[in-house]
Amino acid sequence: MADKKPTAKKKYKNDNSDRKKKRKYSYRKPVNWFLLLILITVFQIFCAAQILLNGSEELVKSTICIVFGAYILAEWIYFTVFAGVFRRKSFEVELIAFFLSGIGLALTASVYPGKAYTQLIAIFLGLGVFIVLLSILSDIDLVTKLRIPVAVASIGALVFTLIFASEINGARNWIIIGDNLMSIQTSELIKISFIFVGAATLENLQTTKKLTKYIIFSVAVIGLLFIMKDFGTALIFFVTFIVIAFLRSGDIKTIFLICAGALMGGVGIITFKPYVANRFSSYRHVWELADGKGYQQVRLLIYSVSGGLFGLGLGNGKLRYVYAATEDLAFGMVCEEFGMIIAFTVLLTFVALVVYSIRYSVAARSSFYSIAACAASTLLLFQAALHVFGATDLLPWTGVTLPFISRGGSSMMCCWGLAALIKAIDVKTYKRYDTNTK
Amino acid sequence: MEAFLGQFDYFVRYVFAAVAVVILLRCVFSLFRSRPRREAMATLINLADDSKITIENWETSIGRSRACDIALKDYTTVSRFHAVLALRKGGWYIFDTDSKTGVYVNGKQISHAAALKDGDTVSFGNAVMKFKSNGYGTGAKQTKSKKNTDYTNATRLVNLKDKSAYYLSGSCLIGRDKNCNICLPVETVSREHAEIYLTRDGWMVADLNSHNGTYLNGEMVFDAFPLYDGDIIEIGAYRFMFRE
Repeated sequence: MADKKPTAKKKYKNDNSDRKKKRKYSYRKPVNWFLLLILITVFQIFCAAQILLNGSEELVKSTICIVFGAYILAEWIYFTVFAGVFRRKSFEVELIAFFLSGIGLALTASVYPGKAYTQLIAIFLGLGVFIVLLSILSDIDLVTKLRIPVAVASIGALVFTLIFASEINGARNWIIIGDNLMSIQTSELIKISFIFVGAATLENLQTTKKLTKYIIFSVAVIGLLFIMKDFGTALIFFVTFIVIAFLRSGDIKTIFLICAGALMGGVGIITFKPYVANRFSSYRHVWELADGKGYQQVRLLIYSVSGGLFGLGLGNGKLRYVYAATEDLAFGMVCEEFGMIIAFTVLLTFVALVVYSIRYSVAARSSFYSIAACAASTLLLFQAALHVFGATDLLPWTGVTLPFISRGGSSMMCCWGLAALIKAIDVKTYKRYDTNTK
Repeated sequence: MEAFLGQFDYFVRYVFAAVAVVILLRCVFSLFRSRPRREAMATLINLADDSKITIENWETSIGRSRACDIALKDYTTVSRFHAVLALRKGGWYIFDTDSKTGVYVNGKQISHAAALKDGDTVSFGNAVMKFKSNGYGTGAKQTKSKKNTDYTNATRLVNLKDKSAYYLSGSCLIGRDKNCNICLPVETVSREHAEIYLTRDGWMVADLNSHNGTYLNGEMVFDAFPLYDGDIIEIGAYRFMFRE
């Protein structure tokens, strides 16, 4: 440290002496949540106004007002409580999550007004997951203890799903409770626990023997998803697994081995199980099957172009009449009704979260936070990429959701949980207990 | 009214785009600008050649493999992944990760994990090291006991030398001058050296064109930096820890 100081001083004298005088009191501010929250509120009020303006006859106006009112109120309560009472300093991740969920809520409320309440409750549940998970993550010892129970529970939940699930859209991964009262997609919730279990290496850092146990767990999870024919989620888990395995072992050779093995396994499955290949038969041929299997994708490609840079405005689009518009085609909806600028900024945000967690991982309080944040942000990015490229026919279409924006309760809870994992990497989130003070 | 609504529908799309770009980019840039902090949390001194190894992470892996954080390549008795040194709530711990030759703390072999204190000798195979903690991992208990006795939760600057505390409220001027809130009568401190002040975004430290500069966690402060709990401010020969 001592020998570093003079060089730093010298460099500073050469470069910054002029700058210093000019901007003496300009500082690197943490984000001003108050101002940004006002902007977010404005955005959401305008969204609600536009939905009311362009809505059809059967639209219940009070529903829209209540849903958006409750959502905006929840945002303000959250920020007031955590900034005022708990004195938290950084709010970037929450702001991003609230904003993206707001776009999702606007789309849902506009296209399926009847499902707006469900989506609102889903966001609140997600927020609950976020707060609870963040408080659990603050205690590393608790995380270590929870590792095994969470792993067992995840496998149990997947086996339960496999036995009792009903098949929707070709994938057998939905548990329906009551008479269509509630439907849960277990594979979404498992995403959080998959990272949670994988990242909690701690004192077993870089031990290949302990990695073997995790490989067995991952093979079990991904295998079960394959049996459920949920190929998109299986692929997401596989990419996350590679990221975690690499971060845990630091060994690139093992990763190549795993990839080669998985590739061969994948080729084998496609050769011997024709129904897998059948699911993806329209890949690269959507325009030939424009009124058959490629119907949704072709409509998405056409209508998202008509949105242009600034979009047609909420409620003016055509894509909304296509099946699963706010779920599997959510990216197209954003493109058409909000415009290309917003759609691409949203995607860039997912990239930015990955860059952020990689950059920040050197300073995290523990390797658990580094691994969890990198894995969580990679998962979000990969899922977004699979959604966008799948819907635009650049990759096989697996019908995964666009994080935060697509409609769906399980998916929303998963995204907020992953946001908590990303948030935990920041040392400012928690009180420090490491330094020697009086 | 009709015309107005039509205009609203037309213009709001530009507002949407502008607001979305402002919100997301502001958050993203803010994420990128937060400075990762790396400090020397502890040191391992190799007793064979007195070379020092600085520990900067919460978990550090030790072994013969190149992939380890501390790679002891020349020691044939060290396993490829030998041990992990970790900071926990209770202090520093060393974990034996199934090594062949074992980990010894002060000459005694450990079974799975053992607590480490400042000055302990740790040996991995025939690599013998002395462990020096840099003040980390010892504070948890002391802070707790003190919290019960008085109002130490207040924002304050703690002088690391004699542990005396300056309590802060609003703005606080630090310098050699007698009119400063914190007066440090030493030549290396400028007359008006630095200022610590409260903004809506929290506490900030600003350097006031001082001769010798102000350092925050070893980094030069060239305009103003936000302060967080546990930050170390160096002014002249003084070292303060910022607590809130």
